[in-house]
Amino acid sequence: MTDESVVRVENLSVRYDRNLVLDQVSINVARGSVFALLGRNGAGKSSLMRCLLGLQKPTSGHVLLFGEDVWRHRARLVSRAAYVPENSDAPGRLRVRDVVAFHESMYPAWDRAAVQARLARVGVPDSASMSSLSKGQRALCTLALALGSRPELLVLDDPTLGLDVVARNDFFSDFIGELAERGTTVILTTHDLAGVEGIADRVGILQGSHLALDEEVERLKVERGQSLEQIFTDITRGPGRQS
Amino acid sequence: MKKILAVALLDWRRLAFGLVPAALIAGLIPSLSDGIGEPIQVGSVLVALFVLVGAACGGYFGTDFAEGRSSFFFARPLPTRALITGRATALLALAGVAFLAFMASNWISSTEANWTAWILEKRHAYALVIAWSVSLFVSLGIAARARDSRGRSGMRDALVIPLRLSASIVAFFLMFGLFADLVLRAYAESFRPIELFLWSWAIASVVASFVAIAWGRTERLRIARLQSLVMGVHFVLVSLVVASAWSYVLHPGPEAIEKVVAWGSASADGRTALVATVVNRGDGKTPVPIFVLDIVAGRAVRLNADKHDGPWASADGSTVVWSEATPFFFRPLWRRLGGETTFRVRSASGEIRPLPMPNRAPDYRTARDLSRYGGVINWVLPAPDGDSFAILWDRHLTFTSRTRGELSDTPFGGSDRPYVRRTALFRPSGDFRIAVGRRDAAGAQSLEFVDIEPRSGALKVLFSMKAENLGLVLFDSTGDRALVTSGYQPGRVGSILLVDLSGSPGEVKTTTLPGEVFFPTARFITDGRIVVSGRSALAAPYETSLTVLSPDGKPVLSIPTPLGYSGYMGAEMFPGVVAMTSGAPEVATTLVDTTTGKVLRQIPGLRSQNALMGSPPPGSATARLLQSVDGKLYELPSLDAPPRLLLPLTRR
Repeated sequence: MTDESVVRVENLSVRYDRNLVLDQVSINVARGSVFALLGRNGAGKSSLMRCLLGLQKPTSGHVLLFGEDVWRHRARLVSRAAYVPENSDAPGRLRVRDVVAFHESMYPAWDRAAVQARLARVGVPDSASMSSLSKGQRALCTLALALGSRPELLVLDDPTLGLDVVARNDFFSDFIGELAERGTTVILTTHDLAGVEGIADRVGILQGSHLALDEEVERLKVERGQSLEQIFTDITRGPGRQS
Repeated sequence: MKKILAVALLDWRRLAFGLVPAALIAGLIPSLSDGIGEPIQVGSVLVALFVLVGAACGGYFGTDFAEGRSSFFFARPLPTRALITGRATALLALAGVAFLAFMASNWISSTEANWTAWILEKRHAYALVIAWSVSLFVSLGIAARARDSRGRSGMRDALVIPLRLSASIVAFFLMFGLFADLVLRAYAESFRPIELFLWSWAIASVVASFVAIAWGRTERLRIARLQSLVMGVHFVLVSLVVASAWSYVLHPGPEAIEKVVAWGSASADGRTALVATVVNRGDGKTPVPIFVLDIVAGRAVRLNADKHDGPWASADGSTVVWSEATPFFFRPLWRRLGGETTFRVRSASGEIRPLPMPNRAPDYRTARDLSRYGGVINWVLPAPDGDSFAILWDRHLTFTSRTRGELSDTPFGGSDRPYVRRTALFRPSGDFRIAVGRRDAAGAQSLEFVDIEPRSGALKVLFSMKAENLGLVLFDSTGDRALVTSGYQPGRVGSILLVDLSGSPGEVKTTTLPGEVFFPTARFITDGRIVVSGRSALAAPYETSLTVLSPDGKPVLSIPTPLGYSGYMGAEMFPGVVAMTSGAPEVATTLVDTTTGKVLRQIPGLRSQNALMGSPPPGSATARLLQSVDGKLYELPSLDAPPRLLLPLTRR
């Protein structure tokens, strides 16, 4: 692994019973880069995201985060990372300020002011319960919480799912752009190909359990002369996942 | 610590809002129940409250995984141990606050409530911990399996899942059946094994949950598998422990004998005496294994007998009938495998065969199989020939034969003619004679002597007499004479009647034996004479006396005995030599020659079998057995020899 690699995935396979979801997938994500992982529904993107953060043990292979095995050293390594799942994972009965307080206890470098400012910006009152928020509000709240720890690595699992067009544009233009400028490494999965095209440095496409493509976005566009959406469509139109 | 408290606070914030009001309401229940006349103990309501707190906390822990919120914990820098400790801290904090709220509410609502009473007991801790562990395990299991089971389908699963489930159920019932058998037969007076058994499952479920959380994290399939793995390993270990304990505790060898509690008849050669023992296994009270003791060789072999069904021996001790001590829950299966019955006969030659059962006897098929009193067979008397058997079962007296099958079946003891068996024997002619107690509609008691012809079942009443306050009834070896004792009531002088049954039914003679004693006991001795003992009713200190009478009941000899108030007549240890045992101030047995009236010997520290407890054949090897106060069994080989220790076995 080079010093520049924040995430290194080595021959990662994930199998659920007889269902092989990921087969020998290897990825390197350099520090400060934005890596977009694309794939059709059920391609194994979320499984890969969970493996990246030590939330799930791979069937085989390794995931190194900041140079260390993330399954073995999860609690220490994820203190330098943040995760935004597809659906907000905060308990619904808790109020926003309880969830913020929980996060504050978890991270020594918690930026309370920044979190409150972001929540105010997206119109989330801290006295509201998580279950009373709209899907979009919950997603933005979760993102605000993720950024509150000033992570070196941000893992986003389809973060724009359920956001309206304005919020989605804000998300990509503001947050991701800001993070990129701060040197935060970002790995995200998304179906919003147009949104990701402008910010991703590198793109990977999962197809049939394998990583069918892993290339820099600019180089890809120059070499193929196609939009990301066209490339994605060409690659993922083939046969589905192997079993 | 900060992270632990942060986790605990999450549960606190989610649950306190519901649990504290619940505790306040629960605190009112004892006074409300008093008001409606159905008082409920405060401690019992508190148990229910702790079950609620435990179930709620455990359930929330598991439900967090069901609703996809596990990443909320695992995607944060929160060590797994802090997550578990935090949830446990929340459990304790919520239980504490619920307790305070409950007590406050109870104190306000009841004038009898007492804050100073230390109301918390072990059962409250059990309720909290077990409810938490079970709730956590179940909610986590449901969460892990819910989505997984929806995704499965196909022919293979349709076959494999029912097969696997069936195998698991069968394996569980086998293990549980052995455990229940162990508890019923060896630990009926101790809850310790049940406690250990339940705790092992509770602890295993907690361990399974923690392992699943720590190594399954957010992956449902893995959580389900880890839970199953831990519980499977625990099941195998428990099965091994239960099977080993079942084998070890319920199958003791003679070296495990600590005490002898009773002994019965033996064959004439002294090779097969039946002794009931206490062994160093089980709770020390419930298992009473029976051993076949070879008095001559000093060896003992355990008889695999159910203690509630026999064993019953023929009058000469050569044939023994018993029910095999098979596991209760598997008894029907055992019965089918072992020849239709669990009852066995051991003949004089040592051969063991199934007992020829009455054709209509259901043997073991009812819920009574589990009861203290066993199945439907009440009593069996083997004939000395080892071939015929009188079997009393469910208001029937059936005669069966090993060679000829069922001989006859007679209704016996029905509501129109209720009998209580007193004593019975097979006469040398092969006929069966029985003495039965009866009570008529007005409550008057009587004693009947009845002859039954085994081949036809023909019943003939020989003699009937009024018999209030009836004691022992004894036949002599042929059944021609009977001794009927009455008066086993403190302060009442008893009487002994000699009944001569040697003639035809119209010629039965009765003779009231002389002597006014309290608690009389009488027996025939080898030469046909009769010996009677009891506490003198004439004057204090009411010392035990012994009187010898001729075979027709005439007094021959009155022997003063140095036994004091607590003495009793034991067995006829040698021909014409009767043992008299005193219990105070120290146990000792005196051997009295009934011909000369002389005291032949005193044996300190040992007692003979009380004639009230049993009647070993006069002069038999069993009659020469003596027992020490601490339960050791000795044999007196001859009038002069020192007692020989038989049980417990000495190390050689």
